[in-house]
Amino acid sequence: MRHRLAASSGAVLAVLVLSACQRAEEQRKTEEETARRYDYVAKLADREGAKAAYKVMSRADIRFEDGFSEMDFDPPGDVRNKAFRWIGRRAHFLLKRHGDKKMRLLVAGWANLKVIDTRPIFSVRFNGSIVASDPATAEGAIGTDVVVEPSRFGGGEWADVYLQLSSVGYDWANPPALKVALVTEVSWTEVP
Amino acid sequence: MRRARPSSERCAAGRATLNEAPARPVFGVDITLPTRILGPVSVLSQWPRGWRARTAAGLVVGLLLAPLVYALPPFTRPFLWEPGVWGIAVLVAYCGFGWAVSKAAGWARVDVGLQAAWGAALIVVLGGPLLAVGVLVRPVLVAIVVIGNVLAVLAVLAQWRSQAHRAAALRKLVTSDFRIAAPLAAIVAMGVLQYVAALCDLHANPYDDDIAYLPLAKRLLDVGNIDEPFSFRRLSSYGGQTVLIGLDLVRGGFANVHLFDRGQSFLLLLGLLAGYRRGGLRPAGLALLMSVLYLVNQEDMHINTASYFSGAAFFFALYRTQIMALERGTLRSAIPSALLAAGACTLRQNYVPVAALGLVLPYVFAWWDDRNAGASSAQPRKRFAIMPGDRAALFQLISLSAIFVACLIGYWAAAYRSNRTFLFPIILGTFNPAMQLKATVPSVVSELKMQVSVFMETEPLRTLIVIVPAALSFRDRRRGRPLLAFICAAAFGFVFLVHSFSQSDPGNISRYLFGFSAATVMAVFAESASSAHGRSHGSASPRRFMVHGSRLSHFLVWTGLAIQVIWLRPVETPKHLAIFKNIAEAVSYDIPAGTSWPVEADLYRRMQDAAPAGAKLAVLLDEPYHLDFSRQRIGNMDMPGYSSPGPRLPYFQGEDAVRSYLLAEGYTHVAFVRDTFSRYHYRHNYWVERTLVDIELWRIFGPYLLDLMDNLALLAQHHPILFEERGIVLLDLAKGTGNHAP
Repeated sequence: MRHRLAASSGAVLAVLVLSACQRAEEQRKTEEETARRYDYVAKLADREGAKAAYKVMSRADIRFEDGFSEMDFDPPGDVRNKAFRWIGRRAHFLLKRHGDKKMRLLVAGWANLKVIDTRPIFSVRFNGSIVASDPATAEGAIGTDVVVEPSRFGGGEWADVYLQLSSVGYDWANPPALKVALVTEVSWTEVP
Repeated sequence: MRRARPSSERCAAGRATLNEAPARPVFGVDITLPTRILGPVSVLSQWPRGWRARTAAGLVVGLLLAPLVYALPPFTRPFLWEPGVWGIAVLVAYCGFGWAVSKAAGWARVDVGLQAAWGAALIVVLGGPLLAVGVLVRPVLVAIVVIGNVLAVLAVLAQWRSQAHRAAALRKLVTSDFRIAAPLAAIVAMGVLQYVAALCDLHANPYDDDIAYLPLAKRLLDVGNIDEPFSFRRLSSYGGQTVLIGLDLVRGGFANVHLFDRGQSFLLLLGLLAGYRRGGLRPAGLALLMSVLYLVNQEDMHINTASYFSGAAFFFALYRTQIMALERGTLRSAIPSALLAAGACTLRQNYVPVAALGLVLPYVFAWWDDRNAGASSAQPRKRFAIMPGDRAALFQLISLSAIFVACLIGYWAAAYRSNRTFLFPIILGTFNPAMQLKATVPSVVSELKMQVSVFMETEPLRTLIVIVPAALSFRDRRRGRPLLAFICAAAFGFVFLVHSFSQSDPGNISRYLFGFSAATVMAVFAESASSAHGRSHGSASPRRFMVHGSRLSHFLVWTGLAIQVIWLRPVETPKHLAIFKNIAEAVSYDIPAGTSWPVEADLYRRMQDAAPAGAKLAVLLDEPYHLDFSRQRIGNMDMPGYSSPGPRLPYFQGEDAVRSYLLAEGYTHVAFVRDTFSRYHYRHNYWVERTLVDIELWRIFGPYLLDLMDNLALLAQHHPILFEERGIVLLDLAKGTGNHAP
């Protein structure tokens, strides 16, 4: 009786281990395919002359969330033209951790000073903490270029990043309708 | 509106009449059908007697059988008449099969709408095993319609006297009361208009229909199965909608593919609304008219031939059947519920949880209420303990679930045969796990945001936010609390769908929700109208028949309806204008006999003739429904990336990997449309834009499609091209050696 119990327990254990291995293998294949897809998209944007669009589209490690408009183009109608996303008082995106690597976050944009009538403070809040805060230039340029330590991720895989403009009060209006500021580039690269 | 006798009283009277009539021999032969099937009633007990009745019966039978002339092999027939008349024959077949269901389930008298819905459900359920063994070809579909029509004739004759009485009563009612006649005339007119409009809308959706849904229907007609291991649309649906569309297409054409969902299913829904009655009361004619207006006067969700009105009809029929079955309380009487729930599951995959819960929940509620009622009078008992008295209720619940599962087994076998899964998305089968449908970075807040925004922005039913809370305040005293159970089932289906498909957007998700959302709203309207009407007429119906609500809740329900009909109607693109434009276009068509329509059909046939018969042919084409699926074993790669048999079609690894995979799977030939020639779905620039700009769903899918199109174009440089015309290319992959071939 004991032998039978041991044998059947062993068989169940073997099935579970095999199943776990298969799942791990499946997961590995899925991750490889996803990585190849993102590479393909990067090359596609390059090949199609849509590098500007690539700078403001969601990628493997950047995901644009609420507060950003859909992608817009100047002149409109072609992904190969200058690309940007309108933002309002705040705009939210997610950044993915690259293991223990230090990362460089670069954001570039422009604020419509003729509408805002002042030089707003442009702040970047990374997982709740402000990592950059600068006023717009006289020409309206806004942006930041900061190095982010991996410790800022805490234990998470993704970090919440908010871009904030100090002089926009109409939080309830959609960013494209406001036309107060836009982002033309968000990059997230490993520091060599 | 007239007060009728309570339904139980009427049923008893009907049964007595039917049972008392003796079975009479016809031509010396007693053709009483077996009592196990039809109950203790002879089908001839109400046979028309007297020359007037027989003449009238002859006329009715003639009218019912006349459309069957189209069951004959095709000959030259007017362009719109053939599908239009055949569509009526299909509707009559639904009624015929529905009559058989009603007899088998022991229902003596059922209104035409419910009978037709039961019949459609039976046809769908029967289609499952036939699909699984691959025999649901054109002649079998024709035979189903013919058998259904014969059953309908039998039903008319078997119920002649009671039907004649009902017809006479209806005639009297309509001619004597303008308040009945006017709404009824308007409803009939809208039904006819919708049917004609569905018939005359000759435009299918190139995005869904042309590349996937219509090829599935064509495959069904040609080879009797819908095995498509590359097709995401096949993977994510059991195929009931395809079977029902196939019934129309056997004598129609691919130009009239909207006939089923927009035409026949809409008529089913009208019939179900018109036949609705609670405690002997029908909703007022004006209320019915408003409900129909609610259905027609909204943004058109029918962007393709997938399930919309068919889902609404099946779910509303399920709701009505559950009420009746719970009142009677026998397992046999609930068989149509199981058929409808199973049928609804096959129409769209996301209907599965709603149908299953819609079937089971009222019985759980009934069981729970019975226990609590018993516990209050007897000694206290443990809350979840199963007592001997519960066994009958539990047995009924388990038996009903078993019947429901049995009805689906055919579709499960067919789905497994095609895509190695019978429960997508829980069991993935041939689905590619790298193509997830949920948002990549889900969070509780984003999930809540999606759930709320879909509820608030649900198109076209934009007043759900008013109607659903008002309906929740209704007090349903009936056994099993069917209205509450149905709302709970729909709510679960809503939340589950939004959770599982969070990559999409509210507009698209609304399409998947339409079937059970519309049915829920119709149920609320019908209950509210019956209840209010009963109160205004001092109904003496037992309270157990009724749903009660405060004046405020009724007011909110009808306000929600009125707001939708009056203020939220489509202004920029009025549907009625599109309907008349479509009719004008369709009647202007003059298609000479013997010519292919549209012209692409000839092109596809020539391409197919260039490939050897019996070969395995993988296709990536704009309109694969022009292909003859019996000539080659065709695999339709409609949405590359989502599904593929075996070890998965390799992507982003070059053309050699694609070629090796296809050859290993036996596909020696591949046909594709060059992206510079594609009419719609496979345009290069279109997908570049969607990949870079669109919602996550398309940003993920786009690269797969572009990569496959790139690879096929590269393969065409190194393999013999057997056919190339207007961008359609046929390659022989077995010849040539891939990228390094000379």
